[in-house]
Amino acid sequence: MKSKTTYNFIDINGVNIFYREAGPKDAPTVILLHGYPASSHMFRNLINDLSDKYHLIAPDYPGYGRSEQPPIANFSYTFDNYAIIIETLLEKLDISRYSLYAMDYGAPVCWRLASKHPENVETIIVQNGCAYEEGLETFWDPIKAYWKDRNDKVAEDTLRTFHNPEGLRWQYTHGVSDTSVISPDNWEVDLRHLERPENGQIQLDLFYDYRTNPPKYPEWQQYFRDHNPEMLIVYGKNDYIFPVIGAEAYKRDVKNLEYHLFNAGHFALESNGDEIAAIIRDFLDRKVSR
Amino acid sequence: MFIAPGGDAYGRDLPDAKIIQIDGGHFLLEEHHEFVADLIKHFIQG
Repeated sequence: MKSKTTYNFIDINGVNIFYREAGPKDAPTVILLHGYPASSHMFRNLINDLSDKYHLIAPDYPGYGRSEQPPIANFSYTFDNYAIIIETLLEKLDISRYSLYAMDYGAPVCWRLASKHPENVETIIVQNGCAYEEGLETFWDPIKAYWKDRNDKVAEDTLRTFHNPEGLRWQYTHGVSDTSVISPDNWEVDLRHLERPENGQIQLDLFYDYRTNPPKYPEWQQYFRDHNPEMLIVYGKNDYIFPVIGAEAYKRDVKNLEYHLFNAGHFALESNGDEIAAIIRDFLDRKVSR
Repeated sequence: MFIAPGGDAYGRDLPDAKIIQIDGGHFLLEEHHEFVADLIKHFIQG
């Protein structure tokens, strides 16, 4: 029997953090880490699909979804800080063993958490998220220009287009063969948080902070080799943001890897959610089922 | 907005109506969609 999702708020380091939760609390836990510029909304169907047997937690990062957006002056919008927020959330919820689902921005949060606490990690599910330099192709050129020179206004203007209404729609529909299955609610929901005052600058700050991730790729790859995490890759193979070459790369370092590509784009759960949920269920049933 | 007696009232003119009051609010499907889906399935299948 599927369980109902609950919608919760909790104070984490002075920030009001929103998270979705479903499933039996004594079942194996999966932490779902959302991508830019989405929120836990992207997991709404997956959470329901797995909630009969697994305990799902999907938080929104500060500045995204329904979580609070502290002023930039009072909060450091960085991947380091997001990882601390999630780590503290898990401590407060008393969750010490978990699987991690990493998508897009969720990946650098996941790798920080997993490499810091390898003993806590039961499995890792990667969906269109990166840990390899070659995974950052053409889409990343203006972002790399911005890393070189933060005052590069041309790059900045391009970056802003990624999450304007047109750019959002593109992120959800590019590489999708039948776009009629993609709900426009996705970008309309995202716009609610993206249009808050200061949020545009927060998105730029995070694009800029993403430069801290590639230098860490070698240590995260070392983590894969040293700890052999059980990993499932479920990847939209038509993603322009994280192209499939970045998925292939995991094969070099991850020994316990199961690998599935889908004829889907960046937000693969939107078009192929049922298939992906079935594969995740089968994987978790074999790896962590109690 | 649409209180329970308004639901029961259908029984006056549709004596064969199956009227089920559920412990929920206006947007009932948000709270009880699986339960309601089962009721509808059984009703349609007869």
